Amino acid sequence: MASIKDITLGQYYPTESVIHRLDPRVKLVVTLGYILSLFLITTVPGYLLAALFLILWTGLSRVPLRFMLRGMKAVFLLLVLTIVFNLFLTPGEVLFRFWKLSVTREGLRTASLMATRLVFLIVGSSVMTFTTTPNHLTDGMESLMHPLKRLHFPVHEIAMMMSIALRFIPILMEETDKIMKAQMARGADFESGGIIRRAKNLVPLLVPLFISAFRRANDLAIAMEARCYRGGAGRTKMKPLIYQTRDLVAYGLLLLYLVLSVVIGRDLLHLQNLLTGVLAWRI
Amino acid sequence: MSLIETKGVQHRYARRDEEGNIIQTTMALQKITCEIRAGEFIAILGHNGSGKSTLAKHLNALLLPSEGAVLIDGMDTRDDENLWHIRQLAGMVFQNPDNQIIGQIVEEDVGFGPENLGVPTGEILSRVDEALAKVDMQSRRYSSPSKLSGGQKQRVSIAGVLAMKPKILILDEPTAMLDPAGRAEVLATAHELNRRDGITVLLITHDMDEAAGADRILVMDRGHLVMSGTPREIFARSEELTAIGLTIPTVTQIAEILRAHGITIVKTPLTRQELTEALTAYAFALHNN
Repeated sequence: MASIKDITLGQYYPTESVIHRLDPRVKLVVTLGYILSLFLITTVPGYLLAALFLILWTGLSRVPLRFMLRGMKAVFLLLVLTIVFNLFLTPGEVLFRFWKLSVTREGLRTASLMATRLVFLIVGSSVMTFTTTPNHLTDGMESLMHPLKRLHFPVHEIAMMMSIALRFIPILMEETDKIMKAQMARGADFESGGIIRRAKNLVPLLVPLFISAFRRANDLAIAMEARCYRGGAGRTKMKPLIYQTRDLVAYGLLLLYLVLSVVIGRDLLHLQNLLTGVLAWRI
Repeated sequence: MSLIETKGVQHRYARRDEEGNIIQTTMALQKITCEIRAGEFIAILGHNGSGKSTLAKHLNALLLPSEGAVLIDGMDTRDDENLWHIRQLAGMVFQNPDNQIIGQIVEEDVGFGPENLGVPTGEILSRVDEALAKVDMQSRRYSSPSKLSGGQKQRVSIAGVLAMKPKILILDEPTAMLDPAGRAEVLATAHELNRRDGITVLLITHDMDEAAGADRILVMDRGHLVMSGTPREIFARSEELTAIGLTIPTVTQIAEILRAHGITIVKTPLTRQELTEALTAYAFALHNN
C-alpha cells in the first residue's frame, strides 16, 4: 500500500521550461486572460486561434500530454452532459431525428463549440498549476492582490494562511493515518456499513485530529511570534518577485492574442453593433 | 553586566471557569533570581511542571512576569518598545520540530525571521547561507522539511534562529522527540555554536546526560530555583536531586556505588572517560601500595 505521505501536493510537474521560469504573476494573468478570451470568442477562426495559443502554451511548458489529460478525467461527466444537452435541446433547423430526440444544426454547432471551450479552459488553466509550485502561486496572488490592501482587504494574512495550510497538509495527513491505525487497533471500523453509519464512525477520527490541529496551530503561533512575526507591515522578502524580459514578452504576447481574439474571434457585425451600442449609450 | 538577569520573577497561571471567574491560581514561578553571563552554556534541569519552560518563555518576552523583572541585555521585557529587539536577541527553539517550521522549503524557513525583521533582500540570502553553514545543513537547502529527519529539522529550526543574529539561543527540550542519533546531532550543534560563535546557550532539559555537558546547571522544582552550580557540584548532591524526582547521570551513579563499596574516587565523574581515568588512578594507587 502506498503511504499517505506519497501524495503530491497540487499537481506541480517539476521540469525545466520557459513556462516554469515565468513569474507566477504572469502565469496568473495569462490564465485569466485566456479564460476571458474563451468567453469572448464565438467564431470558428477564433477557436483556431485559441487552439494555436493553447498548443504554444502547453508545448512550451514541456509537461507530458498524458498529465494534462489526467485533469480531464474529473470533468468528463460535465463534458458529456454539456454535449448531450446542447446537442438535443437547442431549437433550430432539424438535421435528423432519433427516437423522440432531434438534432439541430445549431445544436451540433453549440455542442461542439461548448465542448471545445470547456476542454481548452481546463487544459489552459492546468498549465499554471503544473508549472508553478504552490508557494510561488501564493506569492504571485499576494503580489497581484496588493492593490486591494487599500480597501483594507487582508492580502498578506490570506497569503500567509494559504502557505501555512499548504505546509500543514502533509503533516495532518500523516496524523490522520496514525490516528486511524490507532483507532483500528482498538476495534474502530471505518469501512463497513451504509453512508450514515460510516460518517458516524468517523467521529473518533475527527475529534483527536481537530484537537491535535488546534494544538499545532497554537504551537506554531508561539513559534512565529518568537521569530518576530508581526503581520505584513515592515516585512521584507527573501525572494521578491521581479519581472524579467521573458515576463514582459509574455505579457506582450498575451495582449496581442487578446486583440486578435477580439478581431478574429468575434462576429465583426456583432462587434460593430456592440460598439455602436456602447457609443449610443455614452451619448 | 550580565546578559540575562531575572529579579524575583513570579508567574501566576490563572484557571478560569466558564464565566471567567478565577477558580484556581498556580504559581508557575516563585521568586526566581538569577544571572547569566554572555558566553555561558546553561542547562536548566527540572521535572515536568517544575516551571522550566515557563522560565524560558519569560526570557524572550513570550510571557511576562506577574511580579519582578526580566532584563535581557539590560532591557526590561515588560517594556513594549523592547519587545522585538528582545525576541531578536533571544531566539527560541521548541520541542516539536513540525510545529515550528513555517516554510515549505528549508531556506524559506530560515529566511522567515530576517524577513520579519525587515532585513534587505540581499542580506537575507547571505544570512541564510551563513546560518545553514553553521548547523551544517547547506546540502538540504532546497529540501522540503517533511523529507528531513527529526535531528535535521531541529538543526533547521536552530538555523532559523541564527539567521536573526541572536546573542542567546534558548532550546526548550529540543531533543525530547528525537531518536538518540538526532539528540547527539542537536547537542553537538548547540555546543559548537557556544564554543565557536560565543552564543549563550540555555538548554532546557530533563536529561541528566545532556545537562552534564553544560558550564552551569540551574535546577528547578515546583516553580522554585533550588540549585545552581557546575555539573560536578550539582551531581555531588545526589540525595537532594533524588528528593525532587531527578536522578544523576549513569556514570555518576556508578561512581557513587563504587564509593559506597570503599573505592576512592576523588573527583565526581561526569563522563565515561572521567570514570575510566578515576578507576585507573585508583588501580595505580592500589598497585603502588
